[in-house]
Amino acid sequence: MLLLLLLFALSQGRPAYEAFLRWLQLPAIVAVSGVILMATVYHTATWFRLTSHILVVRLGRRVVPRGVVTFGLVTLWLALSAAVAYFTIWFAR
Amino acid sequence: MRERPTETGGLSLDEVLVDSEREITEEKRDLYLILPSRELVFWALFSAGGMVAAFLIPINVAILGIALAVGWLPEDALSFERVLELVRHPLAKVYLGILVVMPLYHWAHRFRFAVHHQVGIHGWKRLVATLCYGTAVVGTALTVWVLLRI
Repeated sequence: MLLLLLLFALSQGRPAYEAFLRWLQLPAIVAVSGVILMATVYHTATWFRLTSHILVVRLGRRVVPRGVVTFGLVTLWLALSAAVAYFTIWFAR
Repeated sequence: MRERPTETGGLSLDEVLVDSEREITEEKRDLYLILPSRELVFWALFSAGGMVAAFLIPINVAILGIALAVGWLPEDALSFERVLELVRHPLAKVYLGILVVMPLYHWAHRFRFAVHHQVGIHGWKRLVATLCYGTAVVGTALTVWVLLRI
């Protein structure tokens, strides 16, 4: 939802966008964002745990162990996060 | 599992597939019987939305919600011009569309079940379902509209 608001502010022009960025930095909003961040990371952790139980990857006769699936998911998550961070912060500066 | 003849080539692909299907069917047959086919669409959207949410939302919240305010971002990283340029690229719009829209369906499905099974309201199933998925659909429309305007 936050992203949708940002995109809407962007579409409304510079003053709206910059006002939105200032709003994002209000202490109360940052506090809420902190809570949201903790909730999403918790969601990611439990989602990966669930996925490692139900995702069965077979290589020939053998099945990939659950720990390896989890490791793969976490690695993919870190890689995607790094890519998003790169594009959001540094690309085309 | 069938007895395997010891042959030099090992198992054929056919044998592996037949056996894997047998195992999966036995474990998941009950699930297939319980889920009516309409539900599968929403469940699939729920799964996809959950994947998107699990992988992509934490970093986005960390950047917009925390890093910006704390001052970890370089100057002008989120300047109006730069962000406008970034978002105008078609791939960026597709990415943002998926990022905003899929978790809505994830929420909708989960919230619907929360209302029935955690809050305890067992009636009005049609209404709850319509409100939940309807909200997700409205969110989708809004997102598409905003993205097209930029």
